[in-house]
Amino acid sequence: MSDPTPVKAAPVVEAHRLFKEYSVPGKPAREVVKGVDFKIWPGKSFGLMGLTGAGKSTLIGMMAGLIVPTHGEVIFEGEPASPGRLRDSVMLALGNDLGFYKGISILDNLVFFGAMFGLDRKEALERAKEVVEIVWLRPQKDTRYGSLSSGQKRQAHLARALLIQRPLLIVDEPTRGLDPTTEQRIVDVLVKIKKTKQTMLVVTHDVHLAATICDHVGILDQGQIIRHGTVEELTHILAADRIYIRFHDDPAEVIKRLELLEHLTELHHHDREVHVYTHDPESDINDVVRIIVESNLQIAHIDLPEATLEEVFLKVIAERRHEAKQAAEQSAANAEAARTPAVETAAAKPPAARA
Amino acid sequence: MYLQWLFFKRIFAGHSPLRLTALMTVGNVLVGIGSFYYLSQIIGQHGLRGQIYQEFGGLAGFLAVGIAMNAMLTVGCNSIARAITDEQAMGTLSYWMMCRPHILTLVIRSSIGEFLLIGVNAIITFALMVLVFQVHFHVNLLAFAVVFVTSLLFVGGIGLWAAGLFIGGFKGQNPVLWAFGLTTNFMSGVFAPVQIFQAQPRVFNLPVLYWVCMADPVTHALLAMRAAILRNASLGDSAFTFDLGFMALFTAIVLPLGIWQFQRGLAKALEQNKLIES
Repeated sequence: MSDPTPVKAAPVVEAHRLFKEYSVPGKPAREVVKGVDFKIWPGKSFGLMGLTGAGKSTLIGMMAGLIVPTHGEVIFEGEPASPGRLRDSVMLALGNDLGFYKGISILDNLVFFGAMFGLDRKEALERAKEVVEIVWLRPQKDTRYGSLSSGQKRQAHLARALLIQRPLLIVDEPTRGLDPTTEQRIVDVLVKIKKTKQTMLVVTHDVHLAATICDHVGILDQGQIIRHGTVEELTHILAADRIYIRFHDDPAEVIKRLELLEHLTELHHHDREVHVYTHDPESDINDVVRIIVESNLQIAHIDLPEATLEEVFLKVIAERRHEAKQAAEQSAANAEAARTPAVETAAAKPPAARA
Repeated sequence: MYLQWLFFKRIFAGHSPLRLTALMTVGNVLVGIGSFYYLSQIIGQHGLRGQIYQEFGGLAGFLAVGIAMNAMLTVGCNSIARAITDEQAMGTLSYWMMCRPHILTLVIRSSIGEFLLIGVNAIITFALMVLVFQVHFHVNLLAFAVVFVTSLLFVGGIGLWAAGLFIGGFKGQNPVLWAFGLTTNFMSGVFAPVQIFQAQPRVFNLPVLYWVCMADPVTHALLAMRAAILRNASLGDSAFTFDLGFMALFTAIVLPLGIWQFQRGLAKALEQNKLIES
């Protein structure tokens, strides 16, 4: 994966070998985050994608200074940062409906938190009015928080995160459980924030959001980042595994020869459309074209479509789970083999050897 | 000051409309005072039962101060602990942690509103007792102020202790608040002077219980407050000074212990992920 390091800038924040385990009385400690490393550069957005239970919330808790890591450290602007320093340097927008006072209006809530963040009376009010404008909540600014829809509540969370500028903005699951229209509105707000060069850590399992907002994406599974890279790198390298060809004539002859390709994994055809799946499409395309030319067939269209981030995400997770399952089976087999050999070996040996 | 004002505003905005709340408060106070007054008439002022209240100016004044003080102590403790549980339930605690003032300061600030409400309630109670029921108070303002501040610090310590348990993830009834409520209601002399357990005036004759009561700092808080409000006791009054000193001693222990427990609970919350609601 390429390192997106700008020439002069240093990372705003860096997770360095972060581990977190929770101790449960009478049970073995539960490891939730297992040695996570990543860096976020100034003005860039790092997306952390993962299924439920992958360890995302714990990881952002550690990045925000709300959870103390068991091992490892968070390096902030070049220095190891205490949880207190992180809490002073990070703004947080959690993706739930909680976090505000239901009985008072959005504007009053924002003024309250503005004052809590150290703004004076005039600044708190002015800034609250500005941020409701930014997140498109002006019509609802006098509505009680408890009466807002889920989408509007997420907008309110983003508004609060914009009250004061801090070096890092952490946005947790901003589109979780929202309808597509509202989801798009949240994405638009985040695009707006990104344009201000705010450094962001966006935690999501919404691939559309990650693809739109994030410069760099890490896929988190079972407490570890199993793949990371730019969205282009992930979609190109991990999933550009297909060649789509449409012919003017019946491709039956070509199909027979394509099935003999060295890196072929799958081949689907319907009418004059052929989809070739291979481990190495960039290399195999030459062979594919050669076979077609030798068969004297006319190509109507040929394409190497890149996968979507969603496909990459699901593929990477599936591969990881498959590997884990295989490792577990192998380990079980080894254990079984370790238990039985004494008897079997003894029985298998000829009498002379046994003597 | 502005932030403190916003804390007050938040309390009122989250409750019933202000006028209705005020009306209900006055209603509660009137009914409460009426009950004290008629109870005092039923028990009588001259029999043995009545005599034990005489040094406090009668049952009505005794009960008024006892109940007002009890309310202040209980609300004080609960409001500090509740500040944590409420913010945890509302999901705002994680944001409090990220604000500029320390969370300990915010917890105390958020409780001040309830302290003030209970103070206003007590003032209305006393005013109505004087105006409507002609109960006489003999107040020493300086002594009252000293007892009041010491009591606040004392309940602040207990409240922080309880809050420390909650923030650290304790669920269910808080044992600190339970123990405090139990001793305050039963043993500290809210409804009757603890002297009823002494050999004289032979109401119950349970001297052991009397000494248990006298070991409870809340008993001394009530004795000192009654002395300041009902007997015009000055700071030079030896009985008053003893009660005040006893309270101050406990406060000097409980307050640092409460702060320590709160910090310990906070450290546990940071360790065990008790601050983020997702």
